[in-house]
Amino acid sequence: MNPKTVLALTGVLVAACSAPPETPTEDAPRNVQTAAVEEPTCTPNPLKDVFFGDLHVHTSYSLDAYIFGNHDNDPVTAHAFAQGATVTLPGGRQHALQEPLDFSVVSDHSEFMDVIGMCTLPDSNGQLSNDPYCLYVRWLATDAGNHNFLPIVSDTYTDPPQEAGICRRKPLQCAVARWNVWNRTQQATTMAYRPCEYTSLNAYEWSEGTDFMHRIVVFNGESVPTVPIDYIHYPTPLEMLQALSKQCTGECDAISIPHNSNLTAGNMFKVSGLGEALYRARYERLVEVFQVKGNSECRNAVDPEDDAYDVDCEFELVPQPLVLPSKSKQGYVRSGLKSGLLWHAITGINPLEMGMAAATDTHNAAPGSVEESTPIGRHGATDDDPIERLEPANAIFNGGGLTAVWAQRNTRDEIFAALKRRESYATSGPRMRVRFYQTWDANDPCSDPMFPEQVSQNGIPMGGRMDPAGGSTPQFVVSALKDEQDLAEIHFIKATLSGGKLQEQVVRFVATGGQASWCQTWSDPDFDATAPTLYYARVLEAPTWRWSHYDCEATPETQAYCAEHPELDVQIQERAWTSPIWSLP
Amino acid sequence: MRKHPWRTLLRHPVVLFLVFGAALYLLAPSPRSDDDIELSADVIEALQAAEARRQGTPLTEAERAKITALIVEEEVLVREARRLGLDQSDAIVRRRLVQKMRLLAEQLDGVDQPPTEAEVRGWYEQTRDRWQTGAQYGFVHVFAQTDRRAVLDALGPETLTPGDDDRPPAAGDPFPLSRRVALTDDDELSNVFGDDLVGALAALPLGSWSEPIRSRYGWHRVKVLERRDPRPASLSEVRAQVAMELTAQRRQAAVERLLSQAYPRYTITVAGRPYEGGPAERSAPVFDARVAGLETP
Repeated sequence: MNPKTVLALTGVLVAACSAPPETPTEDAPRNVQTAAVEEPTCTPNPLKDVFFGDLHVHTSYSLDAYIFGNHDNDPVTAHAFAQGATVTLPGGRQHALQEPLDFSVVSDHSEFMDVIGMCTLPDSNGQLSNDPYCLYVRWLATDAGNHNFLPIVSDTYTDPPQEAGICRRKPLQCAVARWNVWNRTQQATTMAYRPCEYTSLNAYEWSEGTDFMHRIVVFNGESVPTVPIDYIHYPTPLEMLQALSKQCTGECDAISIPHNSNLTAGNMFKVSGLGEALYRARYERLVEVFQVKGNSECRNAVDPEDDAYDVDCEFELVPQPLVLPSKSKQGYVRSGLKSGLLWHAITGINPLEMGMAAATDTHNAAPGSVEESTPIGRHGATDDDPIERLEPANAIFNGGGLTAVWAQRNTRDEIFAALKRRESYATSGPRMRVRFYQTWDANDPCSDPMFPEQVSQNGIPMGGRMDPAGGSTPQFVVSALKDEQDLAEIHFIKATLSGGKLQEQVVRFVATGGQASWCQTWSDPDFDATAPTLYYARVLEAPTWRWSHYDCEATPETQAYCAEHPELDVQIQERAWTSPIWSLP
Repeated sequence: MRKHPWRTLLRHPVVLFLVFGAALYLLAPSPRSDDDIELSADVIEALQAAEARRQGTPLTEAERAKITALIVEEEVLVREARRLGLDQSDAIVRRRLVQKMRLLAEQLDGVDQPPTEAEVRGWYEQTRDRWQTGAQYGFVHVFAQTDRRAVLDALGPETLTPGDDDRPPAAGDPFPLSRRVALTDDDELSNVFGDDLVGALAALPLGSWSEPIRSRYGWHRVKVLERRDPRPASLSEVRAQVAMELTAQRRQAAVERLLSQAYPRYTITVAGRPYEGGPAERSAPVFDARVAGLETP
């Protein structure tokens, strides 16, 4: 046992030990057997501690994961793995995290939960599971079927979308199956929650069909929609968010996190109108800036107009080959954040006020499996050995990232609240500790031994809005501790809508040697209180080997392969991206 | 938005409950011989009605007949496939049968349900000697960057007050994590501060300041305020691990029981010789309380 969250600054010696009152159970989930949830015994830390988690996790309850060959690792397995359990991965390898996570979701695809329930789970009656459709699903999930999920999925991509084949024939049974799978997911979430040590949150992924406008929807507690809101019945982001506002009421609260904006041909951050803007402003508090299918922070366009070439955008990119860089660029987070400034200037609403999150998008029910030195793959049997992972189609993927949040303690309420107020940062895997504040105070926070007491009282943390009229020269501070590898660079990134033009600026500080701990301030002399502006920080580690290096060394076969493909045997600079701080006059 | 009223209705929990019950009733197989195909009117009508709702319009007579024909056709094909023994050598069918048998064993034993509080307590009592907490420390510290150890060396008792004062002294370099660390397990502290600093904590007397200790972040002077030795963990401290472990153990035990009952029914010969072995050995995951992780023993 492992009381986490106890790095607490308290005025009293271990006030934590007082007996907890009994928890009222008004919030009992529908149709879910509740485990007795104890009142947390850890003391809230007003200066906050940092917690690491994974906000994008697929299990055998996702149709694609099942067909990739993950037949057994379900939501229960995922939450056990997140807490340090050794799990057998598809392909037979045993694996455990070097360090457990503090929180995780299970976010299986809303779509096809019915097919999973009908064709793969024990409750399904023989007449259903022997349905030719189910036989086909299970055949696709074998080597002979090539682990190809497209025949099942693309069948629904009509306009408007239609139900999965078996559900067009057996709608009643499908509705029951969908509801059943979602209930099992909730049961796993309930069982895994350990206040103060491990927070499990209910979630699903709404997976829009053809344009990749995917979102993870994360819930605060056990009150959730009766069945997940899916693309088949709610085919656009607006319809999905409207449905969420109708079905998630009362105790229920949710945030929606877009991901893989890099693969949306520039479309993720287009907002269809004022209605969508309002819903996005309400729910889309975070954006997944990094996950196995690429870094979505920023992309350099080849346009001659683009004078701000940021060399650090060139990190783990998975560009879309058929999309022009200038168009694709619009699908990256920095462009999205800038569009938000424009929206705010014109309408007073910022639909793109998004903090930073990162995740694995594992399909093996292996949340937090980001360690470069032990690559395990992400997609079931399709990349469970080194040579498969080094194939061009898989080698473009990275090791996945984590989301860090600053919260007073590790409980559902506190973790969800931190996500919602965007007091979060994303990392490309390592657990560097990063604080980021804006202050109007002229004192140097980096010479204050009591940091962050002062700055957390009169400053604004990552994810917040600063007061544009608080002074003339805002000061920003990053205080960071390394993980395993020393820190190499701290960047302050500014985007502003000035003189009718969106502009950006990257201010770089580079360490002379490696830094184990680093406090860095920067003041913006060009601050314009009348211009919508945002600032975020980026912290880079010194170079370390990419996961593909370790696979290159794995066998004589991979050594020979990598000798011909030296681009695989490379080093990367792992990094963190903080949520922005906005000045929105 | 395309929205069918029945879909909204279907999301209502009460309706879902009724639907679930009805589905179980309709789908329960009825006894019949190999050559008789008997489909009840209930089944046909329910599926026709469902199709009508899906379409949003009543079915024509031809559509109704087609649904009936499809259901009958499916059943005939299944029977024919069985008659030809196609289910005998098909790897997918075999895998599916094995999977269903295992799950059936779990269902028969009721182990697909979460364990009750009493069962969790029972398992905890039975495995009590494995549930231990780590050593725990609560402390306050002052930090200096790697190249600034001299800053800490220079601090005197006017800054580093001995005793139980738990306020971090206003000295040293900024540290983004807390400098007053509440009582925490040593392995958890090791994840954050590294083994060297945590190892040093064991030797420090309570209430007095250490010399500078190296961590991966830099230098620390530490005053330990409280310390707890490793001790047996209470059920409330490890309930979640105990419940997860019990669930895994019970699933495995259910399958083992079924196998041990089934083996005697068979005379097993491997490569011409009688096979004496039992079911394959497996070990269910077990939690190591010290790392809150599952490890095989």
